[in-house]
Amino acid sequence: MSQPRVTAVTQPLFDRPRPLPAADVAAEAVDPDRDLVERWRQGESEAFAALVRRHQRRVFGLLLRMLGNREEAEDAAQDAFLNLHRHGHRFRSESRFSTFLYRVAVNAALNRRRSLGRRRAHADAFGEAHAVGQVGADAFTDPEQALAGDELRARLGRELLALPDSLRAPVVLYDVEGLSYGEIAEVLELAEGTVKSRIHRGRQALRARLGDLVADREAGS
Amino acid sequence: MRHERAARHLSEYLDGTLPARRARQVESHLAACSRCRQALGELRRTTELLWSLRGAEDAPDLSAAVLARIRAGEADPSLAERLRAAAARVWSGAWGAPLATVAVGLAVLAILPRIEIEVSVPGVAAPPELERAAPVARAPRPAPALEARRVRQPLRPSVPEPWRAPSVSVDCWEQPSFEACQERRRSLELALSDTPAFLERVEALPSTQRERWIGELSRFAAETGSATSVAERLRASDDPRAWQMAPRFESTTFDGR
Repeated sequence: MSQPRVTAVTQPLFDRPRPLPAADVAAEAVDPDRDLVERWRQGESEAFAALVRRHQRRVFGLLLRMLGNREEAEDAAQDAFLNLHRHGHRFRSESRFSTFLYRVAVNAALNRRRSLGRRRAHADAFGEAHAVGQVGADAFTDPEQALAGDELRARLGRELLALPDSLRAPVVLYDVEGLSYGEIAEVLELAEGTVKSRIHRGRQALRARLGDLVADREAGS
Repeated sequence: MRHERAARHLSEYLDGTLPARRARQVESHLAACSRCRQALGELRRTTELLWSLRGAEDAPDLSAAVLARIRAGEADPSLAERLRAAAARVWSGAWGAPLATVAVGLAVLAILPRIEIEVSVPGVAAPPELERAAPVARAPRPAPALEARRVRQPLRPSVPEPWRAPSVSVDCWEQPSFEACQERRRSLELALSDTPAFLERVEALPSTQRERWIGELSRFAAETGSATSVAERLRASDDPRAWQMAPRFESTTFDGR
């Protein structure tokens, strides 16, 4: 009686592809870019173009949060991909390609901010916020309504930009880009404990700056 | 768990990354602390807003521009990198790359003294008396073949600019101690703008701390690229105490030796 039932359960398992050795499984599961990176290393420029197209949205988004200005973010993103092409030989396959790319992108952002100067970056961000819409605090009296709007994103971008680089980068990488503590530690070359502490300090600073937008009066009662 | 400790762990609690035992401690504190409950709610709201930024912007297609710049040679390795790669090929093996880096570094060091580089501190317009002052410890005159490589101020105006208060370019948020960085920056700006006041500042320090203070300040000056300007300013003073201090700023290299 029990024999057919066992066969019915186990048979499909044998039809599945045989699992790869543990290390290969990890690499395969960890890095979806591995094939493209290999092809790029073998000199296939189309593979590099495919990597750019695959990651440009996230790199551009990260740089926009770091720099606060679309033009600067686009220039910095191009610089980041050029640096990636120039220094690609330094990439070691034991970490994810996207982590390496984030490190290159963060460096591009920091270099650009150094060359621009903090004051100019702030002025640009303020200008952009005005171009998008009203940025006064009274424009955000209804957080739910503002949530869907460009105004909220402009406000958030502005408040993020007011954080020091040392706090903004970990917060953006964790809360916007969704990297893990370990990946951020690798990108920023910091200890994991430092990353956790900076994320917390960055969020606290942002929470204070966002004021009514995040106020939670019910929880306090 | 004490309030301060629980408050420090709120982000990790929110992210679900605390060990189970620690998370239970935070939970029991939250049950008794309305301030922490409020902070947790506001942190959660902050993270939700941040998450809403994810992918919110349309990204331009960069691949065509990037490939065009690569074809134009903008991503080609620099001369130093090409030398390093060539040297690494010669010394293949585990120590090849580090040896190659050392070799290229030594080659650059051998060339450097033959190149005269002018450095300026942003925001500092050299007062006329500094231009007249005899340069101290100048590098040897460049060889004729390297004369053309001399780096000059690219945008030096033909009309002299009015003198502006000097500023030292440094982002103190990036430094380990914000307050110490601010204090050193102010001291350097004082040295660049008002030598007598700077000397008074030094004299006001207890004699046991003076040497260490000057050492830290000169390393900071080297890191921010203002050491040469400070040394020149001290040399240009008519106070012998300033002359004695000038070599401290000239001899400190970027890595703090």
